[in-house]
Amino acid sequence: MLKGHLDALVLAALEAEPAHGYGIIRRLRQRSSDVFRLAEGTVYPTLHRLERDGLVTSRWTLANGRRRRVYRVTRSGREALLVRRLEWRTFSTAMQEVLG
Amino acid sequence: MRHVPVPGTRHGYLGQLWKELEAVGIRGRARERILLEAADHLAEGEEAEFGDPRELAQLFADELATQATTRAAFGAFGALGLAAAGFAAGWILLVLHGTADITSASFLPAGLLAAFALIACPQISFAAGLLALARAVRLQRLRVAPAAELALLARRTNAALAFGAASLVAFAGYAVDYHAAFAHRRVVAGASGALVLLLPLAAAALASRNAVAVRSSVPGGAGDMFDDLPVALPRRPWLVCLGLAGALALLLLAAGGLDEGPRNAVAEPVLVVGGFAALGRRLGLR
Repeated sequence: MLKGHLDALVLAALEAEPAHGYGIIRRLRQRSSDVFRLAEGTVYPTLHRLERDGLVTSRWTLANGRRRRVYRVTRSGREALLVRRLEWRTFSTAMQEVLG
Repeated sequence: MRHVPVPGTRHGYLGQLWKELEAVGIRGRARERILLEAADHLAEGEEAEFGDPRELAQLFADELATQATTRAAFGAFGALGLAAAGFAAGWILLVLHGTADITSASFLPAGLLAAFALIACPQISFAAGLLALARAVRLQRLRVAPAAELALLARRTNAALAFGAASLVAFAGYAVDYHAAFAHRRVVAGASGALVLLLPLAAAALASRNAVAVRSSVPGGAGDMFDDLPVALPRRPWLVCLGLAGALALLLLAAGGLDEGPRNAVAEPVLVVGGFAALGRRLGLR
């Protein structure tokens, strides 16, 4: 279930400020109170695709002597996130009403 | 940033990931980037939490294969467009001051073969290129496409490129074999221009080969031409082929007049039906 919403979750995690892959994983865990635990490596194919689609950009930086790819959400990414939020709210409201 | 070897890729988790990426055909810059990001991640996180290297490599391959194969198809279509424009310009340049008698070749069998290839190959290349473009446009909307669909797209792309290259070689051969009928400088310019135009086709073929190297594991069927058409037709491939050949025959009969009309009205449909029989399965037409 989580996989189907990974794009939106990653965009939301990057909305406030840029981050690298591990930083995104940490934010997802913190903001979900440790409920969202997925194989951490799976965030990278998602990030690469979001970059190809122009929803995030990235650049290499140096951190503790290591090369680090830092991702930043683009304007198109923010617009896409807005759409995903609206879709999710509609869906979750409907689910709540049906399930009670 | 300058090229830096990824540390720790000889042994351990990164070594395993390196091997798995190699196994699914991800190499070069793409693999280096994945390994560098994994190395940075694992400096802070746990290997067990990062995921199985084989599954992760396949996840990357499933997405990259779709992107690389559709991009290669678009690139090939661009290269073929360039070749087609050069082909047309070369033909106009060559026959501007008269055409060659079919029997005036230096070596008649080669001349006849080149003349036949000049008629058949561009048409097959055009048809395969259009089919590849139609499939690429559809697949680019998908995040991950079935491996069978990507394989079909690559076959169409490669067929379009191969017959496009054959068209250019046939043109150069025709110009040389019938050189007596044309001005010397036009023969040299036409033949050498055609051979130069092979370069973009070779580059596109290389891109297609690299794209095919990335192996998707997504299940699903390859589909056929009916999946690529913008209008719904009855799924009877031979009926569509014969209908097309018949329509073409009528068109050529009307356009060709009494002299060339009947000949073209027979030759072209035979070529269409023959091409459909020979390449139909390979190009996903039937």
